Amino acid sequence: MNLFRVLLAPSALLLITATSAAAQGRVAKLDPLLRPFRNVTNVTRANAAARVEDVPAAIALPGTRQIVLTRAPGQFETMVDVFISLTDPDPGLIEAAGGDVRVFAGTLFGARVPLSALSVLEADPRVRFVRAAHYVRVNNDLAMADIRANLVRTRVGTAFTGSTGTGVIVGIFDTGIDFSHADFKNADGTTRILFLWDQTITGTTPGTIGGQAFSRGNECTAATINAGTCSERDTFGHGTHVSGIATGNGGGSGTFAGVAPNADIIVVKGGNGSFSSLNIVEGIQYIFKRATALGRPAVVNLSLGFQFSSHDGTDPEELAIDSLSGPGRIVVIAAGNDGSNQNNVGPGSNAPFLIHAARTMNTADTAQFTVTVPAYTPAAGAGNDFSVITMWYDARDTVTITVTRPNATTFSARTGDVGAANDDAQGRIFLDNASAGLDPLNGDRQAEIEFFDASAAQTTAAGTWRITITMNRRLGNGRFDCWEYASSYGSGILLAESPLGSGGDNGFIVGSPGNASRAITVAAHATRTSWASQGGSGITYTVVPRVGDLATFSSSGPSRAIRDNPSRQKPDISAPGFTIFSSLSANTTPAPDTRLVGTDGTHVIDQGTSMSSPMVTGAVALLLERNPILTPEQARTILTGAARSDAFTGVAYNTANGGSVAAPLPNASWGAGKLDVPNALAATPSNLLAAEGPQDRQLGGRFVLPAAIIPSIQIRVTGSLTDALTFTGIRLRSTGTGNDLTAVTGVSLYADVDSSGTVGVTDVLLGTVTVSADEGEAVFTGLTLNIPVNGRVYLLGTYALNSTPLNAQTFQLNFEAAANLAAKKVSDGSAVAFAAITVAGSVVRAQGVGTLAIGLGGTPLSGGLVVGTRPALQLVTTAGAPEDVRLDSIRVAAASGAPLAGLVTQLAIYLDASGNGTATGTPLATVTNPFASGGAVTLGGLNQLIAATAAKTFVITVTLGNALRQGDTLGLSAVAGYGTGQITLRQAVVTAAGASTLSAANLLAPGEAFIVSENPVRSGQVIFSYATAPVSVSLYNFAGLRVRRFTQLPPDRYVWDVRAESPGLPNGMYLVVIETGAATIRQRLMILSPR
Amino acid sequence: MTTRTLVAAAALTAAATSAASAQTVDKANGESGATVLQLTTVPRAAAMGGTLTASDGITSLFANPAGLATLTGFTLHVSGQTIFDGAKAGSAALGFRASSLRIAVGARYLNMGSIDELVCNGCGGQGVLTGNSLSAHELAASAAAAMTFGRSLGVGAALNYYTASVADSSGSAISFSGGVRYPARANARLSVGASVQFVGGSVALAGFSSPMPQTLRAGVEFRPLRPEGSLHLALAADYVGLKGAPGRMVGGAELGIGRPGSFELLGRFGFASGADADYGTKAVSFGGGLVLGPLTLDYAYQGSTVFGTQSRFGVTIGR
Repeated sequence: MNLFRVLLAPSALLLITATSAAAQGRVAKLDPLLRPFRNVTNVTRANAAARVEDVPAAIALPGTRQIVLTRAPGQFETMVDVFISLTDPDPGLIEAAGGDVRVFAGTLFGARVPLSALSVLEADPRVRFVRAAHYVRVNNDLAMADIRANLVRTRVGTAFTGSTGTGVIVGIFDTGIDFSHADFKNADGTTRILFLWDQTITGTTPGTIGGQAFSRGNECTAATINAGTCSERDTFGHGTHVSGIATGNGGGSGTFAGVAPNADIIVVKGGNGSFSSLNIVEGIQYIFKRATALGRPAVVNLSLGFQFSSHDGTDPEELAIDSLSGPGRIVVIAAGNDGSNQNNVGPGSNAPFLIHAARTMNTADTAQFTVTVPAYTPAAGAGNDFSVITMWYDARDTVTITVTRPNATTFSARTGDVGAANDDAQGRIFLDNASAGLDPLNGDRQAEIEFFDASAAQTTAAGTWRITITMNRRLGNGRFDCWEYASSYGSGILLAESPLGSGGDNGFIVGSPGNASRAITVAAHATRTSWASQGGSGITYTVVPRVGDLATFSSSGPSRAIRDNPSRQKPDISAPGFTIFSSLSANTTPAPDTRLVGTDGTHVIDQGTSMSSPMVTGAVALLLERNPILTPEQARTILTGAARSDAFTGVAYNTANGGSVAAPLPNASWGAGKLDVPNALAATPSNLLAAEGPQDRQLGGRFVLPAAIIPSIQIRVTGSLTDALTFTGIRLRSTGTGNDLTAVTGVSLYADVDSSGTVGVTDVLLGTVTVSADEGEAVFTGLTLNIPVNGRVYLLGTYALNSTPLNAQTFQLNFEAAANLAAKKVSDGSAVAFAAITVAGSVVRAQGVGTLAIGLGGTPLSGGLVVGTRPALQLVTTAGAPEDVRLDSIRVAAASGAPLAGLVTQLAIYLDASGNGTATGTPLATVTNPFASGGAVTLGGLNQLIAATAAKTFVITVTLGNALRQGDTLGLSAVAGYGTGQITLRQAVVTAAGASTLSAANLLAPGEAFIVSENPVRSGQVIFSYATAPVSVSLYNFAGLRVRRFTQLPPDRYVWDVRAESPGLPNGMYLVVIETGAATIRQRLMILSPR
Repeated sequence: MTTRTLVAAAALTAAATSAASAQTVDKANGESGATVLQLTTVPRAAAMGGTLTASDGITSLFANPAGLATLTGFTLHVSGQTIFDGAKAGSAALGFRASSLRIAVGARYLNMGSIDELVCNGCGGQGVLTGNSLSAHELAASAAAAMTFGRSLGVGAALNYYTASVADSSGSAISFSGGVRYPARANARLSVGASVQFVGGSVALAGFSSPMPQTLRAGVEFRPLRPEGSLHLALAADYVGLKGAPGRMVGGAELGIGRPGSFELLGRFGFASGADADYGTKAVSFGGGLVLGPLTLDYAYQGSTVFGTQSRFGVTIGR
């Protein structure tokens, strides 16, 4: 199955003379752009034009704008720059024709010749060809001129201004990208690629983005690309070419700049020519997730497709794309390269290549179509010489499918029959006529028709194979659609050798996922059929479409109708896709023929809807630049509504036998017509408001008050394409936590002249207002900021805060509606309307510099570990300089060898005003069963202001519960409640946690602590450790018999050598009774000592 | 664990090597194993200081099997007690008459609770908890027979099986007990008895063997009032000599009010020597009982400086 024929077809369209001379046809000697000057009348009109710049208009051929016309001072003859290839290295005939030869390269010459000499040169048999030279300038490429993208931007130095896709992400799912190509670098040499996810290798995965895990492949970031550590390589070259069309900046020269040269780029490399459709969907998700994280609009290009599809937009991949699409999330897809426009100009003929057949029948009707298998040498093995056809029909109908071999043997299957195969010497037939029932996605029936070589003795016979469809019972629309989605005989070139014969047609072949409802699907037309190359001439097309006509390969639609529903328009629009110069991957393997490479050596030609699709992708980027929340439907409406029509676009090529038929726009081949960028931009609301820069600006560190100026929001106002504007006012909403009058002294608005997003020396203060209420508005009126035609200004909203903001309080300025922006035309003072859009400003978070240390007091513990008692922990908190600190909470963590739940029944914190470690007065906070669900608890609501460099002392009392057992220990640690907005500074916030840990406090009172070294005593010796020597330590068995008693114990510890001191003591469980003088403590001791 | 470790480390900072030897009690104390066999599990005996050697009835299985010779038919006894913080013990015995022979089987159980395993952490004095809980259990079973020789001498013998499980170690042993009692009659005005218990056998746990708790008992029981009267009084005294422990004198009294054999309310009092010294029990104990036909309910209270309060409950069916 050829899943991605789109990628293969362009290669098939080119025949290289050195390897396929037989396929080479007659060479068109004269450049198409020069052919109009065969006509003497046009030459006369050109020469009669007052200025050379007026020549194109004089002859009404816009294509002549792309050729270099000059006229010497005082002369009337118009000259044209050309490259001429001769059979002999003698340029004399050029000079004889009035030419001025300036370039000598073997038999190739560069010359400036009179227009009147062109027909003479064409007629001279010593001339191989004459090709026009082109302007090397911004927007000079034919495709850019065809879509008129050059009219909406201006190149200044090496940079583009105007509509260039700034702020928009163009996502490319393809074969990768040559990120080292100058087309994808900024002026300073850094990359324009934000992320490059290579799904084909392993490495650093993207990780989780927006809640979705992308856990395979290798992701390069702009940083790794700039550092030269990104390992991705585009060896296929297709992705680099596609990327260049959509977003390339021309590598500084601007010659072959793409449509959106200032857009940012995210690339997903899904393979080296074929991709899993799963990877495609995942790649789209990845790009959109990245875009969401960056707060940017995004358009994704898919220059790929396949024919094994219902062609009605219900393939899973298509439904997924519909689901992922939305405001600011648009997918553009190539229509496919399976068409066969026969209205070509040669040199060869474009035999109809039909892969679709359809009929509408009544009950008992039959329909036939054929597949002609050519004579071929069977490929070794089985199952590799085949034709495979997918068929769809109304679920209400039942049909019989019959396949007839060239030898007239047949095999049939009725609706619902079990899929089965039939063997014959002429090949195996396999039929599955909706054996599994209705398709779950569209509710129709699908059948599979295959015939192929089952073995070496059963090769697929050459000749005519006939497929007969009999309508057994029509209860539905009576229609079936078949697609031969793949075939191969001998050479292995899929879908190239056995198209449908009689009964087939050339429609409904937009590949999947191009029929996705929300996708914008793109056909291709020709803008160039010859070119100047690094390697000279020698390559031409076997089939050359007319410049301006639908590309010979461009797939026509529409989509298949589901039952009684109408077909949907597909493709949506056409864009240049024939002989397109774009970025050449330096890693292309094998390297392309130099005759395909442009004279700059860094761009190469290719063709296909793979090339037209990124044209539209770039155009959508320009629309999103003006309105980042455009929906796919809005973008499609704008693009198709603005599409250009001409004499070519009124003909469709989806008829039987590949013929053409007059068809008004929109039609099944062109969609709405040819892409027209300026018209589309003009059709977009004329004045748009767009966000610029990060949406959530993280300032980092702290800000110092007073006199702090906190940037919060940056807004880019894009002006009108036609009018100079005066920006007069804006209304911002002040939001956030703690955004009160005591904290905010004002909101200021700056003209961010350097567009840096921060207040700089060149920025201009437009005004300052006081926010009059919490969650209030900052209204700026009476401004007089000029916005030139198609220009833009940057606004910067800032907060001025006084000394009272609380830690972690947030502040945010938002622009909430287009109606909150006011501007008027300079020309007549009339107000202009802006598109509806919102811009969320940066969240500014108060963060101070104060510190708070917590340490143990002089009385760290008191009381014993006795049920019902309240040992206490004394803490001293000290605020650092220079700011006061308000302590709102202390988090207490506990550790114990015993289960904490029930061990501590209550924690209470007191202000220890006397500093003697005594809990008096009312507790500041109390928590009952503090460790019932965890080992830590927060004592909150303290509200204790601690002056800078001063200290406050607290006592935390611990009430012990009944679960307490002898030997249990309890450790408490306490830290201030940092990071949760609990500490308030006079200026702002605490930066680092000061903490004090009461580590491993044994809450036994002195003298009560008694610890053993091991239990069971297996070593024969046990150590009793104690803080103060007990009065006695006794050992009882469980019958109550005291077996040992130790008195006059040494300080600190006593080592009992069990077997040496008590050789007869049985192993078993005993009770150790410790007499402290004030209390009796008991714990079990198990002795398991061998002799 | 961290807490314990750090505390210990702090405690050891100023610690000196243990040099002074500590005083101990008699090092022979407790050399016998099988703690469960040293327990007095019978509530009536516990309430009367532990006297049981000259008593009659099914519970004499646990002190002097010759007392079984007074059994007149099927008799069942069950008792239980709490000891300390999850430790508990219990006993059960069943006896019956088979011609001139009285047969009884019984068992005693001791659950000593569990510890949190603590392993030596460099043996610096502070162990480290492993998170494991280790327990200790003991079980003893006896099968006894008794009969009357001549007109009034009761003679009994028992075969004892003992098993213990302490942490991951276990062991077992078999021993023999025998005794005499005169007269071989219930509620005699004066009864005397003597027995030798748990002779032979030793139990090995974790590679260390300990002998069974060989015990020599001698006792007397005196009933100054007529047995058939509505008031009866029993006075008893025993000497108990346990190998590896100081000998003890124990005694007690039982006062009963009611109709013997149908309804009787009993009060008991006892004392024991060695209390609060070699033994962790209080010197005085008391208890009570209620006789409802063949059913007897018993309770005993015993204080302890080691275990705290201990209560025993018992039920006896039959005579």
